[in-house]
Formats: sequence, structure tokens, C-alpha cells
Amino acid sequence: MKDTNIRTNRLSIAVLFFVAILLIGFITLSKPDFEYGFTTSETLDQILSMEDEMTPDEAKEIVFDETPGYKFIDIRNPYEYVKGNIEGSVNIPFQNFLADENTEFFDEMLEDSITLVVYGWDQTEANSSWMILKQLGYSNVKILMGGYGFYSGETFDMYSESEIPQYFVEEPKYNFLEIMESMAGGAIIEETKVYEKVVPVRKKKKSVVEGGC
Amino acid sequence: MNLRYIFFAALLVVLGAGLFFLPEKTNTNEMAPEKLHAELFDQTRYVSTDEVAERIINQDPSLFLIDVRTADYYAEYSLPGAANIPLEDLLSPNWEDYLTQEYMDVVFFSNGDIYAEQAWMLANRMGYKNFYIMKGGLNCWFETIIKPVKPESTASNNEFDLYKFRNGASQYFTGGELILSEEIVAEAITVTRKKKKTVASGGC
Repeated sequence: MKDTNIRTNRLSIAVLFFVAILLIGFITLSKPDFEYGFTTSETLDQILSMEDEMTPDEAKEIVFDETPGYKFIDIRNPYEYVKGNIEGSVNIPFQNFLADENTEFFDEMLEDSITLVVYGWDQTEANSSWMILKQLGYSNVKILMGGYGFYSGETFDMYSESEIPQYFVEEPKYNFLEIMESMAGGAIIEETKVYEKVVPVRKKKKSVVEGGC
Repeated sequence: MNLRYIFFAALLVVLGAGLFFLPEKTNTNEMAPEKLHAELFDQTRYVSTDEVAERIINQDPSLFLIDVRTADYYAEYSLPGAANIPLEDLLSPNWEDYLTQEYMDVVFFSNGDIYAEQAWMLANRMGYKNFYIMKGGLNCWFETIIKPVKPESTASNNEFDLYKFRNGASQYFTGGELILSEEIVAEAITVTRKKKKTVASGGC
């Protein structure tokens, strides 16, 4: 009987410890502020699908027709935004993306299923913003190819003869192989001019001078 | 007394079984979104084409170039010594050893810099370190290193120094053979004296 008593006491202590550890665990369990909405492989699939890339022409059409369901977001700093921006766009600098009021705004847009189009001066500038929003789970985010530079026509090179639209920045601009072959061997050798020797041909005297006077 | 014993034992069993149903916590190696976001503020992730060229020429052993374009592009032309990991294969376990190392500076590059940056973001999110992006990609490489543009005559000395370096680098990457100008063999000039035809015969 005494034996069971000791065992029961021991067991009750064990239960106390167990419950205490569980409680501490739950209390210290911190919920992260932000969580990824998509895994890396899902994100990679979205990148490769290229579905989220909007051409400048599409954007112009949307702005011109005032198509509902789109919102343009300028990720540059306020000074650049003031200099010129897409009509009806909102300025949210990239540094402020995770501020409370902005995440609330993004959530609201996601609920209303409004497509967000992020843009910077060029596509590279907006790329990280687009990737961050995408990975956070905002599936309604698109990116403007060519950025504001192309939209406004400032970076358009009218002398370019390439048939690929210039806002496809990932296309090779030149034929790399051809350039390397044409330049192989170092410097370009200048042709040396060979001067022909000018040999003056003397006229033969037709007649021997015959005597003097 | 026995009843209490049974009750405690049952409680422990229930609590222990309850642990099985706790939500599974996924991979904690991933960089938190707010940290990744903060990493993107500064531009230290970019290296210039000049820097990459200099490090290739100096045969820097800590430089590791990764071409994230497709295999076709890679077969056509790539930087010397670069490995090819197409963006779509980046997450495949084959390349894990390349990405998890800590001693080399891994520089991603593509034709532009979008794919390279996407690779950079995914690699950083997975918690790997020491990644860089070659600013401007191969398009910029050809504009600056292979075919450098001569600066205006009013440009600063620094720009001329850079131009000199790029010219040298261009020769290094396009073949590197030094072409000597054709040798000029100077012909020995021999002066031949005219033989006097007649011996001066007497004076007056």
C-alpha cells in the first residue's frame, strides 16, 4: 500500500512537470509577423509561367479605357513619383511595403480581387517588390514590363533595329557568339597599303642629234 | 488511492497523445519575409561587370559564376569558368552543394538582370549566403567589357583609366593573342662607287 502511495506521488509530480512544460511552450510560442504564402517551388513556377508580366501596351490600354479592377503601384521614392507617374497610380515606396497601413491596403485589394500592377523606372527596379508581394501570398500582383521609362516613352530607342520589343530585358541584345568570333584573335589588323614603285620611263630620243652648228 | 493513480496515468497518456496532433512546424531555415525585404534595400547585392572581369583575369579562387539561363544559351556563349544552373532547376537537390558552400562569392548572371535577381531571392530565402548579381547581365558585359565605348575627350581621367582597363580585358576575353606589327627589315645600304671609266690621263 505504501508502495502505491509513493508511486502516485511521483506520478502527480510528473504530471505537474508535463503540464508546466506544455504551458511554457505555448506561452513562448511566438507567431511570426509575416509568413510566406507560397513555397519556393510554387514561387518558381509562377516566375517561369510569365503570366504576371504586363506589357506597356496593355497598361496603356487599361489606363486609357479606365478598365476597372486594376490598381497601379509606383514603388519609387516620392520625389521620382512626383516627377511623373501613371494616371491613377498610388505611391508606395518599396521600403514601406511591410508597414501596417500598406499591408492592410494590399489585403483589401486581394479581398476585392483588384489586380495590383507594380512598376518602377524599369522592370529590374520593380522586380524585387513584385517577388516579395508574390511570396507573401498576394496572388493578384502583376509587374509592368519596361517600367515607367517605357510607359512614358523616355527609354524607347527609336534607332534600334531589333525586332524583339525592347522591354524584353532578358533577351540577348546582341548575337554573342558572332561578336566573339568576329573579335577572336585580339585586335583588328589594319590593311597595309602597298605603294607601287613608280618607275619613270624615259622617252627615247628619236634621232641622234646630228652634229652641232 | 488507486483511482488517483489511474487518473494521472490516463491524463499523461492523453496529453502525450495530444502532442501528435500539434501542427507541424515547417522548415525554419527560411529567411523571414521582413528580413528578406530589408536585405533588398541596399544595393550591395550587385557587382559590376568591371569587378567580375577583374576577378576573372586575376583568377580569383573565391569567385564562382553561375549562369541561370537555359542550357541552349549557355552552350552558345557564357563567361569563362561559369557553371550552368538554369533557373527552373535551381531548387533541384543536385545543386544544393553548390549553393550551401560558404567560402565562395557566388555571382548569378543572365542576359539581363531579372532572372539573376529572382535566383538571388530564392537562394536567399532558403537561407544560403554569399550571393551576388552581375548588374546588367551579359548584355551589359558586351557593352562594357567586350566592346567598350571610348569616353569623350572631355571625360575625367578615371573614365579613361576604366576605358584602358576594359580594352585590355576585351583582348583577354576575345582571344588574348598579342599581335605584333610586321617586322621591318632594314636593308643594308651598300654604297657602290662608280668606277672611273678612264684613268685621268695627264693634266694639261
